[in-house]
Amino acid sequence: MAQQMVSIFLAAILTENYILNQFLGICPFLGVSKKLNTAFGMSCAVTFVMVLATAVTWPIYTYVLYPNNLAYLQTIVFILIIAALVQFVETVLKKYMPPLYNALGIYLPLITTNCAVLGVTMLVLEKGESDPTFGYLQSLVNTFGAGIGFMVAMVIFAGVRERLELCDIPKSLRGLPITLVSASLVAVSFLGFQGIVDNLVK
Amino acid sequence: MAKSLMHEFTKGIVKENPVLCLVLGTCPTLAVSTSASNAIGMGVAATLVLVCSNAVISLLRKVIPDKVRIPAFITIIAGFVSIVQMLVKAYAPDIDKSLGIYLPLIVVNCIILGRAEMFASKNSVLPSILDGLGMGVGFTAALLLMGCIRELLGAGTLFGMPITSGFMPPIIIFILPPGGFFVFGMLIALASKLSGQQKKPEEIGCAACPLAASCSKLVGSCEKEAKE
Amino acid sequence: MKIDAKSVLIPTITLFLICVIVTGLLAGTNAITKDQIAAQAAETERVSRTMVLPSAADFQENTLSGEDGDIVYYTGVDSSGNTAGYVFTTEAKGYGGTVQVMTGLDGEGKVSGVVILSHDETPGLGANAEKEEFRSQYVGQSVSNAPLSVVKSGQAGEGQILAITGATITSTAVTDAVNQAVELYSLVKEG
Repeated sequence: MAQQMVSIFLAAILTENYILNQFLGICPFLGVSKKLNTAFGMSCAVTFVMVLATAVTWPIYTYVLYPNNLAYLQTIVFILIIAALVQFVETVLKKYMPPLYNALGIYLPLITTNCAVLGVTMLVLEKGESDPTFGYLQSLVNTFGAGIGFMVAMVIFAGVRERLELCDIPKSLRGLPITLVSASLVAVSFLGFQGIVDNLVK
Repeated sequence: MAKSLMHEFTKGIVKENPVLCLVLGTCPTLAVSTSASNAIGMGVAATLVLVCSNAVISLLRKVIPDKVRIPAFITIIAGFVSIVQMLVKAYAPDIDKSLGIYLPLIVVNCIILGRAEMFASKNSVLPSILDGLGMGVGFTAALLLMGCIRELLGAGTLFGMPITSGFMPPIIIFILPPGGFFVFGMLIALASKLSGQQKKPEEIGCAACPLAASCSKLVGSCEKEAKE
Repeated sequence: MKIDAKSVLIPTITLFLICVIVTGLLAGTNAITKDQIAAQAAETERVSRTMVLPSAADFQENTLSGEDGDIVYYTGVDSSGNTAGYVFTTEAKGYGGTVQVMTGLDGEGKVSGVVILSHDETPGLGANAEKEEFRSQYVGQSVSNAPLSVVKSGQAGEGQILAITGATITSTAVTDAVNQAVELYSLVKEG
């Protein structure tokens, strides 16, 4: 059990990295990874919303939508839940936890249209379908791992970009193109993790 | 009149190409461009959603109160995405299999919400439909271009037909994730070079972001940081 | 705080109405496409089963009670009503994730076909396991040679499978899955 959790968690960070392997959440990856602290703040907010979203959507799908043959409403219900959740979190943080709101608040509205959040809620359900042992707890661990993986990629990449600022880059490559090329190199390094998790947790 | 309608259609294909110039909808662009046929499947599905949602949102633009417009747009878009998803599942299961999770994720494709917010909610039905069609064709064209390059270099095939087998072994990395980032970066560099713009796409423009209005705080902090 | 009926009620009602209409449309589309989707899924499965056990004309669903609950398998029946063989779906851990394999075994205890149902292997490397060249190595392998083993290079002998270049882990995963199917076959045969 514990072994399965560790393996799910590590796989979500390294081999199934949402940004570098599955191309989910590219917009914030390119948009807010310029500075280390914004990258970190954004990832915290994403992780927080991801876990909360899975915590809500998983039971709704499993106990409400699926048994009533309403699985086709999945997309629309999930996106509305996420949108409402983001609003709710923003309001609550603003009122009761101003320091946290000041740190994360500005990123929250962007998260509704972050495909990593909608993606993770759907992917964990898909995993549950093919593997019956993949239940609620496993889904939450997977989601948390996905958030941490998002953070790892963002922070590593922010480091790369801060160095890039000082480089002499050919004119047409300046800005976004060189950012994408460096993202490509970071993705190469993550390819090296493929297959590592099963051997680590054996 | 006819000329301006034509303009609504063509601007999305070249001048304001959503992928290469506005840099929107990057996730599906990178993820499903591993082969030319995947790119077409994704492009057609997104275009369909884009045209339908633009049309409906334009029709309802006077009915939807300003306060709830974003949730209303998202609901309408999600509705069309689900319909397209069911149709694809029923009549083209192979496409459904290869697009997988990215098909429902059209909901959060910023091109669609972006066009709803920036164009359809301010214009009448016909220009909105043409705008959606143009943007969709532009999206499909960019996807197809990337799909062809990556499939040709990475697998040595085009639409599944072998092309380079015999004289060049496939460079597998092009169909892996890093190849996606690389080809995309190169294409954007090429696009900005060809269009001869002085203004380089320094980073994803916040102006193009559909939620720019609601994230003005972030834009503000972005700019403040840039000045520092 | 005074609630202004107009500024609160109208947006709420509009949003509610939009939701209701969209849901209605979705329900309608679902009703139209539901049967088609189910038929497509059934058809895909049937095609896969026919591929791995070409001699069967029809398939019957059976269950085998194992340690981890019931295992569903299919018995193939040929046109004259005799048992032509069995089809098992098994899975094993590959390089990128789980590899799901459907294996057909004929009445004489030989593998009649192997199909990869789903996988997350690297495109261009492990994903080549889907290709006919690799899968055809399993056809004709006898149960008596089980478990099948994987060789990395050279000539694959009886009971051996030549791994795909650069994708030994995937090749082993597929072979593991086929070996599991062979074990299930022996269980079924024993009764």
